[in-house]
Order: sequence, then C-alpha cells, then structure tokens
Amino acid sequence: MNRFRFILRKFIGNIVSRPMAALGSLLSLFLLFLLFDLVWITSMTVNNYYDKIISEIDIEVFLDDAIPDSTITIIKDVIGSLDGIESIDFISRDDARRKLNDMIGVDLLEGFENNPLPRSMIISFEPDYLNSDNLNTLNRDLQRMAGVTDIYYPSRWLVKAEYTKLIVSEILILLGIVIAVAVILNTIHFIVLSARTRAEELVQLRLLGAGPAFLAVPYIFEGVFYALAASLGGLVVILYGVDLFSFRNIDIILPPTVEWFYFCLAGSLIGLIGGYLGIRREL
Amino acid sequence: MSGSIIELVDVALSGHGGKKIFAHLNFSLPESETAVISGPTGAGKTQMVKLIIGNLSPDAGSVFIFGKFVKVNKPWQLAGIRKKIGGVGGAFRLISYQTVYENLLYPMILNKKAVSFQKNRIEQILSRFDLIGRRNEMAGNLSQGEKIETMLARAIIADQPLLLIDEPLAGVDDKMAERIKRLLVRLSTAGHSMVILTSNPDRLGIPGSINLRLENGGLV
Repeated sequence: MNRFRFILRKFIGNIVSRPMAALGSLLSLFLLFLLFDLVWITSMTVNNYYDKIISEIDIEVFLDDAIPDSTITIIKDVIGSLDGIESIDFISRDDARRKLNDMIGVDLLEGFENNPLPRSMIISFEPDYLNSDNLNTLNRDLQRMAGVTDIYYPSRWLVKAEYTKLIVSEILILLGIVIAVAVILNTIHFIVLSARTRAEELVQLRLLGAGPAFLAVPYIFEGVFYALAASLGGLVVILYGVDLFSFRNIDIILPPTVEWFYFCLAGSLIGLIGGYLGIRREL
Repeated sequence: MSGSIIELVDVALSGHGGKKIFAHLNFSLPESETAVISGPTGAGKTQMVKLIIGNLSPDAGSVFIFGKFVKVNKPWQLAGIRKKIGGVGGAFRLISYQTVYENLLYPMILNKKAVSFQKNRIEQILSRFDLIGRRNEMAGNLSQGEKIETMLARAIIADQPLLLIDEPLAGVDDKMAERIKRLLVRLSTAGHSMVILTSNPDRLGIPGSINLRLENGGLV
C-alpha cells in the first residue's frame, strides 16, 4: 500500500468506524450552513426587492411659470448632460391636468380660468446611480439652476430603505463570521475526538517515524469532508425547499451557481482549518 | 560521531521533582553491535530509550543518532530518525485494534517500500517468526510472547538499522522467554545493531554483546 492510499484509507476509516459520531458531526455542521444559507437567501431577496422598488424612483422637477419654452429646452439639455440620467420627460400644464384627472377621477380644475398646475420634468435614473447620496447631490445641483422652483423625490423613504438593506447585509456578514467560527470550533472538536479514539495509533505511528503531514492529512481530509458535505447538504435542502415553498408576492432569489461554488469552497477551507487545528496538538 | 549508531555524550537528566536520573551518561553503540543494558526498576532504562528516540530532551549533554544531533522540537527530523529504528516494548507497542498484518505494514509504508515488495516481505517475516497463522488476528488478542515476537518482526521488517528493545522478557513464561532469546541471538548474529534494556540480565545472555549496567546515573 502506498502512502496516498494509506492516508485515504485512514480518512475513510476514521469516518466509517464511528458512523454515529460522523453523522452527528455532519448534522451539526449542516444546520449551521443551512442557517447561513437561509440568511444569505433572505439578504439576496431583500436586495432584489429593494432594487426593484428603487428602480421606480424618479425626481420631479417643477419649473417656474415665468420661463419661456426655449429656457425649458436648455434646462432639459443641462440636466440630460449630468451623470446617471436615463431619461427626462417634460410634463406640460395640460399633461399635469390629465394626470391629476386620471388619479382622482374628476377634473378638479374645472372652475379655473387658467390651468394653475406648474410645468415639470420627470427624471429617471440609471439603476446603478440610484442611491441617496447621488440623489442628494443632484438635488443640490438642480436647486441651483435658474427656472427650477421645486424638486420632489422620496428622500426619507430612500434613506430608510438603504438603512434596511445595510442592516440585512451587516447581519449576513456578522452571521457569516459567527458561523465560520462555529464551524471551525465544531470541526476542531470532532477532530480532537476522532484523534483521541485513535490515540494509540497516533502514538505508535509517531514512534515508527510518521511525520506531522502523514499523521495530519487524514484528519484534515476528515474536516474538509464534514464541512464540504454539510455545505452541499445545505445547498440541496435550499434548492429543494425553494421549489416546495412558493410565495405569491416575493420572488425568492437564489445566489448564482458560481457563488454557491465559492460558498462550498469556503466551507471546505473552513473545514481544512478546523481539521488542522484539531489535529495540531496531536502532532 | 561517525561509526557509532548511537552516541550519548555527558547526558544529564532529571525526573519529576528534580530527581536525578542521569548525571554524566556516556554511551556509544558501534554499527552491527548489540548492547545489553541492565539495571533495576527505576534506574532509567526507559528514559534512556526515550532520549534515543527523541521523546525526552536531556537537561545537559547531547544525543546523536545515525550521526544526527537529536532535537526534540523538530518533528520532521525525529520522524526521519525514528523510521530507522525498530522498537520493541516500553513506549513501543502494537496497535491493539489492528491485525498483525496491518501492524507490520506501517514501517513498510513509512519507509516507502515498494507496494509489490510489501506483501511478500510480510509473508516472509511472518513465516520466519512463526506467526503466519496469526496474520489476521487483532494484535490485542495476542499473548504477551506473541506480541513481543510481532514487535520484533515489525522492528526488522523494513530493514531498520537500529533495534531498541525494552524488557523483551517481561511477562513471558520460561518457554517463551527461551524462544525470544533465540530470536534475539539470531538477530544479533545477523548483524543488527541492537540496544536491549533489561532488569534481568541473567535471563538474557546474548553472546558477543556489550554488557553494561545503569548505576548511579551512569553506565558501568
């Protein structure tokens, strides 16, 4: 038997010889990874929902009654040259009246001799540009323009939505760190137990001339196996669960395949670290 | 240090509570020689083995094995040295929950013996030690004599150049003791370098061996 086959046999033997302990280890890591997956998907879904809502945000710029149409064209061109602007729609007084009618269902301005509604422009933005900082900057620029009387956009709502998004992201990061530490500690614990059940063998192998790498590799493989299998298990359950539970109003967003791949890779790396730290004292 | 397989130079060692075990221990084992070191229980025989295999670090002095200065905190170096040592008794034991065959396999794997060679070599050694019928027996189920025989087989299976044998006759009856003694004489005659530690030298006479006694922290 060559050294690689021997190490592989030891690694499999470590798991197979204690099936209940292996299952227990696997399940506890699986639950941790599943918890992370759930928060991850929640975060992705919240982000998607946020992006969807925010894409509907636009700024309405109200224009001075006194400025002529030629000045309006100039203002439109100036605004159009600013960063992040996708489109500008001019709303004439008549358009505004029609919109009001559509919203309320009756013509409130029937008794007026002249249409008192102001002219305005509705500015839409490129998706990447939509955040409160950019919109506040644009708001300040627009307010400095001659002919602009008032600007409206849901600034407070935007700040709250961004704050919510930030909190969800921070929870995900925090939970990710906590889970990574928990997985490492759990893996260390499992590997220490695994090594203790084979203490006699480790002592004799050391005396027979086994080096640290030869002794450690089966246990490091064991750590990687538990973490990889647990992360894959979490992934399978999530993919299966999403099919089972469908929500009417919310699209559940799953991370792209490449991110799942990195997730499993990170899981394996955490298992490797845990495996090494678990066996280190026995070397 | 050339010519000597083991060289202990002015080694001092204290045990728990500062009790002096060795004061100025000097020992040298030339290649292909057998040294029988005797001493009463507590004289430091096992500690001497531990010094040689790098399980203990001396308080003073130096330990050289195969010309290399033994450093306890260098696991890679120790692994290289230990591969060349076949150990029996004391710290060296069989792995009780593995078969005789598996126990014999370890030195072959660690010494990177060719896969094609391993099986034949194990069969050959098992026949030589009259253990062929016990090849698939768990080591824990063997009698004390069989355990010592298996450890002796393990100690030479990968042509390890040095054998460290701690109390080879402990716990065996006279018949088995005689058998083990014959094996040791055969190994000594075959030119194996051996250090045998015993508390009962009268029971273990190896012709042509260097006979030393551990006394007052040194060898006489």
